[in-house]
Amino acid sequence: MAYPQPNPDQYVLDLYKFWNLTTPLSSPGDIYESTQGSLAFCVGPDSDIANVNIAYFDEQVPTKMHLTAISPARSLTGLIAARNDQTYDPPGRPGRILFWAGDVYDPNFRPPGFNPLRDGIDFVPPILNVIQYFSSPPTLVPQRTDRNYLFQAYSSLGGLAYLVIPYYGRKYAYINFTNGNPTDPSTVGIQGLNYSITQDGSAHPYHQLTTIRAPAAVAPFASFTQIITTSANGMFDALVFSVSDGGPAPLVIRTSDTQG
Amino acid sequence: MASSLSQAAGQAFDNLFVKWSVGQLKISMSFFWPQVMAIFPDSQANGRPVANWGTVLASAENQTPNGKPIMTYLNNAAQIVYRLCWMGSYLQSVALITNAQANDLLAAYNGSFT
Repeated sequence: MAYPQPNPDQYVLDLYKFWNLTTPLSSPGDIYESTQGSLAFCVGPDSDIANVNIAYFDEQVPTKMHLTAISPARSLTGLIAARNDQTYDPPGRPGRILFWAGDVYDPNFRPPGFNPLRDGIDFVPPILNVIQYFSSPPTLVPQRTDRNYLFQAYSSLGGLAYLVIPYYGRKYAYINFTNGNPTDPSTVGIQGLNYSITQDGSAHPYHQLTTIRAPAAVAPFASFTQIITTSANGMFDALVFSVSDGGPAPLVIRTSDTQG
Repeated sequence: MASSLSQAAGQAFDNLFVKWSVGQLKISMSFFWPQVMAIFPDSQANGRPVANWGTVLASAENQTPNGKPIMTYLNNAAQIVYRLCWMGSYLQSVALITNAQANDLLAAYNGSFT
């Protein structure tokens, strides 16, 4: 979340027809507010987050707060008034539309056996992209765009380098790794990760890891390709890569909402 | 007892599970969110994200039955408290809320859920 927190007020004043919020998550607790009513909410094309929760003012609910969720497969269309003049019960705070990532994220995740003195870990923080429309959208095609990643070097302190990329709701991944180190093999593993609400740093955090490619050596100038699908491997919040050599070693990752 | 807000976030499900198990989920939530609101008044824009979570939690608490409700209520409450604590931790780390506010929030958490 950037500060000051992005909000749609200026977009409305400038007569824009929509507000396109695109921001990396700063923490698992990021929450956004809109003081503007809308005619539709949808997950934007650039979102890594697949599920977005929305709370809005609803006179019919005892607390005046109605909760709903949107996803790439389901938008929310229809008039939603922010009702800044009213208050939510019981806290008495002004009516605003609130929304947040419905998927869990934990930047304090560390793989089992992670040694902070030798290993390194880098996260690609998930992007939250939500579009709020102020006029009737002609069409809503909320499917997310494919995401392309290219990595070539990896940071560790002599141990393993871990790389965590978001994968919420994705159905397909193409992965190609080439060991460009002319002399040393590199041991590469891939795991699917589902986050839990857990005490990081304890002996046994609850995060769930599924082995997709067991760590195996890749010889100098050799390559491997790995395809991940929901039917073959399952669904994950993130993919975790472990690499034993710092590179150069191109790693191409393409993720998609469409299973090829 | 959690010693930091990020630790409180990580303990949220386990701590609320204990309260839920003994039929005290609703009462512990009702003890917590008013303190959040008192620590983060609406006039302080930098702390409003935490208060927004408090608003969501207040609504969830209001709709939570007394005693030991179905587990859906526990899951919802734990996710809200998890995110609320993370929000406080992040805002403290970038000095958008004061250490005193963060400490008061942590004390409210420990007093309500541990």
